[in-house]
Amino acid sequence: MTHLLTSFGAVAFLMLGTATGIAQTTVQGKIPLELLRECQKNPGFMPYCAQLIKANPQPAKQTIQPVLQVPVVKNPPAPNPPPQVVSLLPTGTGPCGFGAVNKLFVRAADQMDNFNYDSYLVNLLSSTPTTSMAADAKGASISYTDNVANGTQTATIDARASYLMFGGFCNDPFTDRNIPFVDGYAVAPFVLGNGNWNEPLTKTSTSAARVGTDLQLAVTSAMLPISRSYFYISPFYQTDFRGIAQIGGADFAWEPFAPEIALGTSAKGDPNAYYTFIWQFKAEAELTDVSNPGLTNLIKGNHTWIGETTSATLGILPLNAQNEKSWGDIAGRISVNASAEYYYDTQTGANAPYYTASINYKLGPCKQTSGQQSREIAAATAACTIQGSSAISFEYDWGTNKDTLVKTNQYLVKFNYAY
Amino acid sequence: MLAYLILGGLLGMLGQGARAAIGLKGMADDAKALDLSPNDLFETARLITSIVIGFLVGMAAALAYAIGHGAIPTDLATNYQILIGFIAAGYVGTDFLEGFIAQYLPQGAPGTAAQKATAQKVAAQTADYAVKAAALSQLPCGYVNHGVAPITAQEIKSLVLQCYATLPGANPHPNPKTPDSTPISALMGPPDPVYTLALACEKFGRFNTDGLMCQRPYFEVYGQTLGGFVQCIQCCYNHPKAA
Repeated sequence: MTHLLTSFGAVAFLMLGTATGIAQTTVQGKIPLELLRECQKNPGFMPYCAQLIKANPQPAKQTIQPVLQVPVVKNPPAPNPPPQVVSLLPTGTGPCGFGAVNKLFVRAADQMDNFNYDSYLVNLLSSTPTTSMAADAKGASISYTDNVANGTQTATIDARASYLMFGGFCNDPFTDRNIPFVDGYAVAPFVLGNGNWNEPLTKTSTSAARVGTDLQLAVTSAMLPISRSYFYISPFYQTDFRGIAQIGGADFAWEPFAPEIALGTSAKGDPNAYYTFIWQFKAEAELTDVSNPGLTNLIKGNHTWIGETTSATLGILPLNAQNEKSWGDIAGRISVNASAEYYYDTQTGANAPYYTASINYKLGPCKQTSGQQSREIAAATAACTIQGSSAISFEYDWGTNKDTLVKTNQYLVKFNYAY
Repeated sequence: MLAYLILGGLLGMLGQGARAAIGLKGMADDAKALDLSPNDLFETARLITSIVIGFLVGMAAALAYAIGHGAIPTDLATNYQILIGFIAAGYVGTDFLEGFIAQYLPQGAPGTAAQKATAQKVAAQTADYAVKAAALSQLPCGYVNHGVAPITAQEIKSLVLQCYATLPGANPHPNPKTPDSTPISALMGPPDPVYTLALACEKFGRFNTDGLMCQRPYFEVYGQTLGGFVQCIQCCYNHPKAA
């Protein structure tokens, strides 16, 4: 025996050193033994563990997702949710989930520019994310001019950046589908800049700079003609680009969605479509207290702005197999947008109408084709290679901006970027 | 020489078999604690692999012994110490080889301290996901009114496609054989393709008269494809609301 062990030398030493847990390496291997022990220590886990072991044919070490495929309800579809966003869903402790998200949005300083945080949360849950909302947004635009001859500098900013911190989805706590309930929410601080910065200061140096927080609530009821609504509550503090103005306030808005009338959303997939149409409506009430108007034309005192924004977008040659064949890369890039705002200050009687028309050409299409899938499906399911969306637009603006009460009548050629 | 090596291999298998027998006892204890059948934990391929490794280890031990002594031992029939040595090699050496394999192949069994640490980390994550999965599995899908007639999945799919076809921008003549794997996001635009279609269906035809109510979280998770969406509605029909 001594000779035998000597022959093995270091090999035998290693054998003894690693000889542990016979049971672990022989018959266990479907799930980690540690989990089995965890199941033993926590009686509350027992029913789950039993189902886990029966349902999970692969080692849990290799894949986490099958753990989530525990069939409990009748006729369960095959679930495959990304585990990191499970917290967005409600748990047994309440009707709503709570998930920290942390996502930056960069858009135009425009009420209608798709500040729909809910859609981002939906994409987090989805294994087949829909087209990025950024692809449909106008996007932020910034210009800067340094006139060396005159010694003047000018910057024009139209941008809103918001940071989605957390949100979640909610179950209907009632057993009556007609009772309205909150089915989702999101909280996002934001910074907004809109106006001109000049050096030296000129009469046109009017601007608005806001910081605040958006609270978005999605509300549903089968009783209402429009079954889906988004409500926004946005307290803010406003100044100008030089920090002179002192304005506090809160913005309240309602945006309905109804696919039956292409309001806010619409179906897609028509293989013969040469155009798509969608329109949006947003009703708004804004309460402001102007302590110092600064570089705005606002009047000192309290204001109650009530108004609405209506916007319509016509997509020309949308992305489908027919248009791609006939028009190639032009498909899915061109859109025409028109919007009309009207606000009325009940305190001072001031009006602020504002109209915009633009034609946009998308530079970075978010589309891919693959395999035997139809192109529409591939485009809808493919991950965007470009996270943001860029476009060139020709725009005409006419009206009065309610944030500054500055009148505008201008043509613009803009490069827009949305993220 | 060949017979000598095969003998070593068979003795190695015997050692590994003894090791497996002890493992089976542990497995039976684990299964009993979990209120499971031992079959739920037993993994045939793993057992066979271990026994084959035991055979190889036994052969290697026989070969190493012969090389160390310059000749094949002639007193195997009487020198039981050599035979026990081969059995011991099969008993212990399999662990070494499995540990060696685990070190270089990710699917190997936990052997090293680092692998055990990884296994523990995975187990902790798995337990965490288990809690979340348990919560997820409790999501209600929705309901219909009490006493409505049963409905088949094919009928649901047909109604869903009819509902979709009525919406602006939709394909007015969707293929009834549209694959179940079709993502809802290919049928509906942003901001929320799945729940938007669910709400449209709630107010469509028989779904409306049956009082269909779709719970958003469940549909967002399970209703992302046409087939999943249909099963979600089927689930609602399996949970009629109390009258």
